[in-house]
Amino acid sequence: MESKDRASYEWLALRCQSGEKGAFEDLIAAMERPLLYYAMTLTGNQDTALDVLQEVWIKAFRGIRKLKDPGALRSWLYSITHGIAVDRIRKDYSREQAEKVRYGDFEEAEEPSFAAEDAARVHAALGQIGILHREVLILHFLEDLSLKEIAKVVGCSEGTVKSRIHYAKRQMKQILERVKHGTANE
Amino acid sequence: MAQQTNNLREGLLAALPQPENLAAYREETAALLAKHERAVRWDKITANIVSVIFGLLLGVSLSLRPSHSLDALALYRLQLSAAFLFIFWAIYGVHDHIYSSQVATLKEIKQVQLQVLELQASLKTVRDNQF
Repeated sequence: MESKDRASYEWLALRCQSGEKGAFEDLIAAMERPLLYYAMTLTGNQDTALDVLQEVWIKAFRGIRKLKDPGALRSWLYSITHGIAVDRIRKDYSREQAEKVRYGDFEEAEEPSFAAEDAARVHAALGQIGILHREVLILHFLEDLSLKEIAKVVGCSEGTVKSRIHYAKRQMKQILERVKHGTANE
Repeated sequence: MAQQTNNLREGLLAALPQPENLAAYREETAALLAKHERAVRWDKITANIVSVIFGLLLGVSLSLRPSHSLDALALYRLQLSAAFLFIFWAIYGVHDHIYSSQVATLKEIKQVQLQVLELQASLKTVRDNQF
């Protein structure tokens, strides 16, 4: 994320913290879609995602003054979304089911990258990878958050995030290649 | 790289299906937030009223003298409690005031920083156009 964008988000956070009229509406306008995307990715259901998002706004509104670093606004919002969505998942299904993701051997191979024109295929393929990998990939793709920020959001170490992103990208690349060669349904 | 990420981001967000009844959902969210805003405002008003009551209680208790209905020990306890409560609320108020001042200052700094960044960006555009 460019420094100007970062500074705009910091300013937005400070406007909300000072209680400026209309600031929170601006925050919602700026973050509604990415947070909805993230919540939908986690819950897999649009209605649940919308409920999660509503709770996020209320929690954010009540707690914005507790946000010590305004620069961490986006990761703070994502961690709230993560917490609420995980609670919902726990309520709706067993979290164990969601966390049943097998780790392959993590090797320091070349990091796959994705072109902008892959977006639609990436979106479709996201549903085929495990939730733990999906969520870090979303944070990486949507907000370009640092490893440290993602680790804070999902509540694990930077190393784990790094390996999850790497594994998820490899898995994603394989899915995209399978789709490309028309073997997706095999 | 940043441009590529932004394009991918936009592409992914565009793939998000538009929720049905989005307008109604937004209205509902706005109404909920307005309710919480009112609650926050009432919390502040209540805090101010409570601090005034504690101040008055302290003032009254300090002006009282021991009498047959209020012995010296009871008066001392009353004064001590009133002072403690008043100081507690005063600290809360000062803390809130410091926080608001800090945020206001940071906000001004960030606004200037944003203006500088915008100027830098426009200068860069002018320079790029020249070459």
